[in-house]
Amino acid sequence: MDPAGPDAEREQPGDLASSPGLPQRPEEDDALEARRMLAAVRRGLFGKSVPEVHVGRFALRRQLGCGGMGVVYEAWDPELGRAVAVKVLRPRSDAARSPEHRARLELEARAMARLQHPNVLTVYEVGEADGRTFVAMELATGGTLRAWLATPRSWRAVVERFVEAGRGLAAAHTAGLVHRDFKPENVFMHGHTARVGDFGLARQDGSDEPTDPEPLQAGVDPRWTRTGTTLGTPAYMAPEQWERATVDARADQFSFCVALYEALYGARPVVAGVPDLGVVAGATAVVPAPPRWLRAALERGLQRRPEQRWPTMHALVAELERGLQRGRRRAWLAAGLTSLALAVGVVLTGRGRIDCAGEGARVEAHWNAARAAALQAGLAATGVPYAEASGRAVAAILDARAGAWRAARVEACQAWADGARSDSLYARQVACLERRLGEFGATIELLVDADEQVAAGAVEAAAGLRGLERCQDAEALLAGDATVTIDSLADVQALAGLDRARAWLRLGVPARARAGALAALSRTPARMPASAEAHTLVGRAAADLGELAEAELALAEGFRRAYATGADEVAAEAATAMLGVVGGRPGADALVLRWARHARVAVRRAGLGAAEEVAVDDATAKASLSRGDLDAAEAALRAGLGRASAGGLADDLRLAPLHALSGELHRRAGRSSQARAAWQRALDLLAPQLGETHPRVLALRERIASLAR
Amino acid sequence: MATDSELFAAWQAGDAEAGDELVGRHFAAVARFFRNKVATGGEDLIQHTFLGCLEARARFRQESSFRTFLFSIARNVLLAHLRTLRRAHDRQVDFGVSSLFDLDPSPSQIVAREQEQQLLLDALRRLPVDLQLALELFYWEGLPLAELAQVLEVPPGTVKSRLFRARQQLKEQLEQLARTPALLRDTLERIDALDRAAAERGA
Repeated sequence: MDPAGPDAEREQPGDLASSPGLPQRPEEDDALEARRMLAAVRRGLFGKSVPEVHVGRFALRRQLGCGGMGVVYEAWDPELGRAVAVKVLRPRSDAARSPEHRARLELEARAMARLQHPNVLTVYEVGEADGRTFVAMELATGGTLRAWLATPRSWRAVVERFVEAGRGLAAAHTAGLVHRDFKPENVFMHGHTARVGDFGLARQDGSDEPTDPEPLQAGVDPRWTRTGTTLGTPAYMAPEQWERATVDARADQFSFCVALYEALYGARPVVAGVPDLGVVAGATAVVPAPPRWLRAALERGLQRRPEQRWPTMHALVAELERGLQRGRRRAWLAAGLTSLALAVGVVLTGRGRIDCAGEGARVEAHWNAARAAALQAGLAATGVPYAEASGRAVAAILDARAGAWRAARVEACQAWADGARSDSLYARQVACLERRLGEFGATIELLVDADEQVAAGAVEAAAGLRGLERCQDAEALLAGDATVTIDSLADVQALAGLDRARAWLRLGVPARARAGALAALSRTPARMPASAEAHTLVGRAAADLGELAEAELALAEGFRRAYATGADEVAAEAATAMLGVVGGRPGADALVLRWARHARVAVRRAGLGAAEEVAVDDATAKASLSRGDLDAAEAALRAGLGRASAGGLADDLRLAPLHALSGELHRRAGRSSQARAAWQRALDLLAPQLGETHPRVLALRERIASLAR
Repeated sequence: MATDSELFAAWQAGDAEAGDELVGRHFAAVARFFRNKVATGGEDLIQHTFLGCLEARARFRQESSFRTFLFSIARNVLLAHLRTLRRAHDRQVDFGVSSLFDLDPSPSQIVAREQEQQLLLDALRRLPVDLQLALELFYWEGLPLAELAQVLEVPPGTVKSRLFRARQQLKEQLEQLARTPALLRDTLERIDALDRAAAERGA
């Protein structure tokens, strides 16, 4: 090719935009971040031999966010073998540092590393690398308090979270630390507990005053200004921070009260650093309206002059706790247990009086004799010859599923009514079971209205309904985050859409599944676990449609969001699906290992059952087979079959694909008799349930016959 | 030095080193492409863009530059990403109408040192995606009209009118966003400077 061709001409095309007087191109001005991105892309493309970018001993993995005075990364600590968060402070602010400031920073860093409190994110290490200060701390995986607040909550739940954060702040104050940048974005959810992070080092500019508020007043509307790099967070700043006066713990108290006030009443009671409680008097963001004592407590914390506020954070927290106690007693007397209103569709009227059998019987609204008849009729009306056999099998599966649901629901209710189960565990259990019931109902809905395509997928869709293992696993339920709580109508509607999308997917109609998941996505706030699930379902549907690029992006997004919101079950689903999407690529071995590991970890953490475990093996085997790696495929299949029989699934319909895959493997390896045996095993599982004339059964018979030829 | 096309051919044939060199050459431009568009996870999109080049190699025509080809892949990756992000409606996103700000109002993480620059970036984000792309590639990457047409998948004649429309809408956005007349004037002057620079290089 001609070296002076079009490429050569265009070697350095963009310099014109960096000439003086012209607006700069939006380059990454953080050299470390630029290096990390390049390394990440090169590693993704060319494998592990490309070195990762390190800060100190920590290998930077991905950017979690950028705010305050630096960039936060998820990183890997090879010494202790754990993931951590590393915040790297911006070089610009470092440059301005005086020796005194450096000394103060050191002091602060040591105090932070000493501070161990259940409501404070742990700081592991503060250090310097390449002239930049970094803080290695506990990796918060549960999302921020801001995200948690995006869902409507009761005032009580809101105050409880803030009391926790307040305890963390108070502990820091006792240790001599001032946060200086308290806001909901700096509080992280750990399970259902709030923990304060991003402490102390918030101010790096070599002066004691927080930030220079000047850029705010000129030119650009604050709403469009990044509240990140240089500005701090004016919305929550105390008046003395604006006035550049000395800042102490009472500034944190002020910020805390702004944030709590905002969470309760829906607006911040401050205008440019000046308390203005009149602005939103009467409006509330929570239901029922917060009590008056709460407003009084906040008004005191929002006083313009620090000496008129609560003397300490401890005092404010104590006042809030007292109020909660008072309210709780009153609520008990008035209406029994109402704080559990977040349990879905169930009105709880106090333990002991609840109708547990009635709760269990709600499954009958979805599956009853009339429904069963409608289902048979619907399948028959499609005219497929296997309608009767399939219909019988579907009915048997749904009978069993309904029975299991009823038993689990009654058991949970009874244990709670007897006082043997905590409110929070019960609420999560109920939410989990309701979710399964939603899926159950959505599937039946579609089956009753079957066309030929639905009829073909009917049995497998019923068999593929998720089991109840997770809903009965206390540890998994309590470890997860808001995944299991459904507290607003919008959520319920979005989840209903997801249930339907999932049912379409199982019925083998990915186009409808994709449309449904996209619609649900439009109704889901980005930070909610449901959005992780919606992305994941979009990805799975795209994968089934053969749109691999879209699938990969959507699944990556789903996995990331699931990870960020603690939605382990969704993470498991996304990672398992990802195996199928990326696994076929040549040279994907390492990628397959990685996603298989992600999937495996998430399946276990989510407390899922053997079926989901086996799905990981199945996907691994399929990926290996499509790359032509027969040994790896066989190992995965063997592992899957082992796990299945240990999990009591040996005779389960869901194992048929595994046997079929095994047959294909043996055929490719030239082992005809073993291939025949494996296919026969798949046939034995499928034929009695699907019916002899089902296309899947016919296809298997055809395969077996082809071996003989 | 090997040309882009030579490196690309070598990469397709399995030469990872050639691929690595090619990626190194164009990384900054592709990173810039996604910079004012996605908050985090940009590296995934960058990676997909380079992978996409391999997958779409049949579409690479020797007469256009590799960079143009790369940008057209980047655009497809961005649009696919935005489709999954869309939340406004169940309907198809029209990238001639929806802006990045509509699709994802969370702020991008670019923080400009100067207000004029920040304002310009914010206003760009509020244009329909294809208009934003047209202006950014034209101003910052110096793409000639013919190549811009290839990236945007429109006839060359359409590009000129699209740039005209983009400039109009950009000015309207600036007028809405700028809080002081002085800031608006300074920012508009910058756009004029960019246009003059483009005219000088004969676009």
